[in-house]
Amino acid sequence: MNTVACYKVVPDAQDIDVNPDKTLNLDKAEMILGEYDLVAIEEAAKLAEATGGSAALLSAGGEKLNDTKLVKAALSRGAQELYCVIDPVLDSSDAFQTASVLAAALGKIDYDLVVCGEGSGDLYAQQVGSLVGALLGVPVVNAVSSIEAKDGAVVVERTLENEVEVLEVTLPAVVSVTTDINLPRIPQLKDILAAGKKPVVKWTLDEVGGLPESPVETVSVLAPENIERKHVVYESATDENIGELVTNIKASW
Amino acid sequence: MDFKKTEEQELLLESLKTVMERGDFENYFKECDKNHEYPQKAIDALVEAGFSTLGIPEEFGGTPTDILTQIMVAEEAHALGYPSLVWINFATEVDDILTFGNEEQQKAVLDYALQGIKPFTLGFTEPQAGSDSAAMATTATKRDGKVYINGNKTFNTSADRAPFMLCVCRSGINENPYKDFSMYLFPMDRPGITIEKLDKIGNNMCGTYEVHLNDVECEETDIVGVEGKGFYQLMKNFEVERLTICAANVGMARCAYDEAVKYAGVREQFGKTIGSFQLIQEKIVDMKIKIENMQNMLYKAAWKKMNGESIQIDSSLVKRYTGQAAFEVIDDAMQIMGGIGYTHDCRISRLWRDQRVYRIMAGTEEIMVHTAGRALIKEAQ
Amino acid sequence: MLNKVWVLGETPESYAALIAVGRRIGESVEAVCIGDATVGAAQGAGADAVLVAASQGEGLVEDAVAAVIAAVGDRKPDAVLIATTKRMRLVAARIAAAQKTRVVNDAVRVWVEDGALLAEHMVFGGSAYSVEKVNGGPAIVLLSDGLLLNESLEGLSASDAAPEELPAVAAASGITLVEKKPRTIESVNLAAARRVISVGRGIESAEDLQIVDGLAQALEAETGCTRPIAEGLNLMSKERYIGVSGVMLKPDLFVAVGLSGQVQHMVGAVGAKTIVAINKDKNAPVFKQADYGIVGDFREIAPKLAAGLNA
Repeated sequence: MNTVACYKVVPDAQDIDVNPDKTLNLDKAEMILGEYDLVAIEEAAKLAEATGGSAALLSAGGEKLNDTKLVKAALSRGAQELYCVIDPVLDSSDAFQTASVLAAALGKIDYDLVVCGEGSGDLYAQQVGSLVGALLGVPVVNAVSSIEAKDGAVVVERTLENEVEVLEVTLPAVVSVTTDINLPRIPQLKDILAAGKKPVVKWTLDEVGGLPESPVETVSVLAPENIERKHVVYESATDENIGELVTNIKASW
Repeated sequence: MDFKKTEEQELLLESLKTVMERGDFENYFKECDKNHEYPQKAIDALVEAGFSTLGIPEEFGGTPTDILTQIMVAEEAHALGYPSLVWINFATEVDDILTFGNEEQQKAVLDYALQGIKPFTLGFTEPQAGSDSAAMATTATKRDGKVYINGNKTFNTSADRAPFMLCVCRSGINENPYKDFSMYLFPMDRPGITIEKLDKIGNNMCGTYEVHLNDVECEETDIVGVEGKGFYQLMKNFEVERLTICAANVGMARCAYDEAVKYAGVREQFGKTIGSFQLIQEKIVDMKIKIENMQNMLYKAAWKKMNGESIQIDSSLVKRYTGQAAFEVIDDAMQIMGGIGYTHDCRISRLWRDQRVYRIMAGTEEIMVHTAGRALIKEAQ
Repeated sequence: MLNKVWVLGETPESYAALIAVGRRIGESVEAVCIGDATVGAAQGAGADAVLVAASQGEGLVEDAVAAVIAAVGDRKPDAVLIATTKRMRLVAARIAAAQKTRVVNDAVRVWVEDGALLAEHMVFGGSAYSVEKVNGGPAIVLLSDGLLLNESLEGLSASDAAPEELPAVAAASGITLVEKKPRTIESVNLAAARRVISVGRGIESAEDLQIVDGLAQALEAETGCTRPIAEGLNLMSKERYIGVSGVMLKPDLFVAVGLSGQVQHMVGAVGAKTIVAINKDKNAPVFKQADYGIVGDFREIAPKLAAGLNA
């Protein structure tokens, strides 16, 4: 079974600063592979390894996709090759636009199963995988917590709020996987060295049919107003302090 | 000059960080330190992530890795709180056996190294022969086609776990001790070997022992390298060993520094953070200068080694400097932490106990003056 | 105001709040039901029309949704408001893909300005809220639990709208159900709890959890946790994980026990009226985010607090 895992390069949320006007400052943020996408890459690689197929990676984004370290980081996790669509506008494309570009790129790749993460590491809309499947017109399932390969299909477990569905999904198909489906491998030095030698195919936006218009516009992205907290800290657990804390807790309801 | 790490080095260090984060070993190390236990869980995690393969040739199942990268990894692990003397790359052991060992010895030693097991304890220091290595009195005596080892070795790290000893012995073939030493590699479970644990003040996770060798029977083929050349073989060994020890020094200093500086930024006294006091700032600045110096010296020495230049002098300079500077950085870190730094709850107290021995082991800082001092004068003539 | 708003939920319980939100932003509110289990709830909450896909069907929601997708195309509602569940996330995406638009996901606030729908939702791991404006076509919006729970149901009254069957569309989903298994975890609705305790890495064992349970009983609180407790240590189920990819809360009282206060977790609780922190490290960032903090071992403090609260 040939698999494709999609991933997104995102700013590390830990490095995001807030400007005085409450807008976000991403200048200092290191770019990383989305943490949920690492799970998708692992699952795609594992499935391909288990079935004697090949695993590819696919990403759409801006210039940062050219970063050779990030390319090696992605390819050191079990996949054989990388496809990417690179254009600066893809840095700010929304879930529908990104999904359209990925779907168009998938049209040029031989695959049986596309694996997406639960959501992107930055916007976490949890939509791209489902949109890609719908746009391709192939079977699509989200919340997938286990995948087993069968002839021409996969049997997946889908973990919903109150039940687990076992579903047979005809291939080709797209799935979004939950974070507990696997524990992503830790790349070893030999994997990292090998990653630098794997093929990378880069497409321009034109080569995948351009970027569709989106009817949804992002008006603002602002840090929330901080709620003023009282910051009363008792430095030890004396009876007196406990008593005061109990009184304060009771006063809060 | 390029001070930037390669992408491969950066990614490898990120993998190391992931191992340490997933393991969340801080409390575990605290327990192991308290109970004098070997941190097997952390070793297993590192081995699973392939770190024990670094520096071992491909034909033995390893991943060829330059010494600079190995040093960066060891340094980073210690900077992330990994305890000293239990690191899982045995550059010295691997280097020794690849240079001087026979095929069988190589396979045995490298197999263990690949599993993260320290392959041998080095039988060098003796109760009466520390810095004065010529005073070593352990003998290797040939009798009826066998070799019998007799003597006492001390400060043998991991003698309880290492499957072998690489033992330096007098061969009785030359009056000049330096031309009389030979090295033998034998399993630690041979009859005639007893070990006795030393009760030290730090490095509790790594046992250190006295080893008594009483008529330990070896084959003549257990010799490593050439009879009578043992001392010179070892000297080569010490250059690499010193660099890896220095990596631990830099890492431990960084670990203590990171914690202390963070603390200085949040700990409040007299209504402001202690980091706003210049006496604390001075400590932090001097600590940082020492860390920068240590790193630069160490990386440069490793770079020279990789490029085939002699590091005879460098290895002594960097050993002496990093041992002292790391000690000072950790001591200052403890001072910044105040009373908390002196408790077992704060890992700086462990670093303070553990690092101290690096000024003594593998060549005291005084002996480093002796080795580098003579060479520097000679070089200037 | 929008002209025509459709609402869609997976459970009967979701319809009243969905319809209330619909009333707030639209002239007419029509309920879409997949299967007939939710029809009564839609009528009870006063939907102006009730459109039913697969009313007789025993089949998969994933098959029946084709009829809804087609109906959105034919009847062009201005907005489709959907109560968020995992299943509905996929349904929303499929409706949106057919309309060549994105889903506005996890909306914590929706409103209308100059005839356009706007919605606010969290991005960048809680570092920011993003406001999206839908400029054309139907707005496909997933409403968060928090929004629906806090929506006033005042003024809703039952309607007599007769269910109208949407024409079935034969488009195979390519998915067949092999079996359904009930989840063995106990179901918990942290988002609805007024008082919540959350535990972090300071909790190391099941015994520690029992100590926390004592405090939870005294507070009549639900217990949640940080991600490592649910995913790394498996001490609690993933349903109890609070934070970016977990549950978002707005309780009256949030008690943080043995957790450091990382943004990815605390974002799940920033809306709390009062935050209390128990941590043995007095420099833990959580104290900077709390109203009341106490430094010390929770194993000692929690029982004392529980006793004080019970007294």
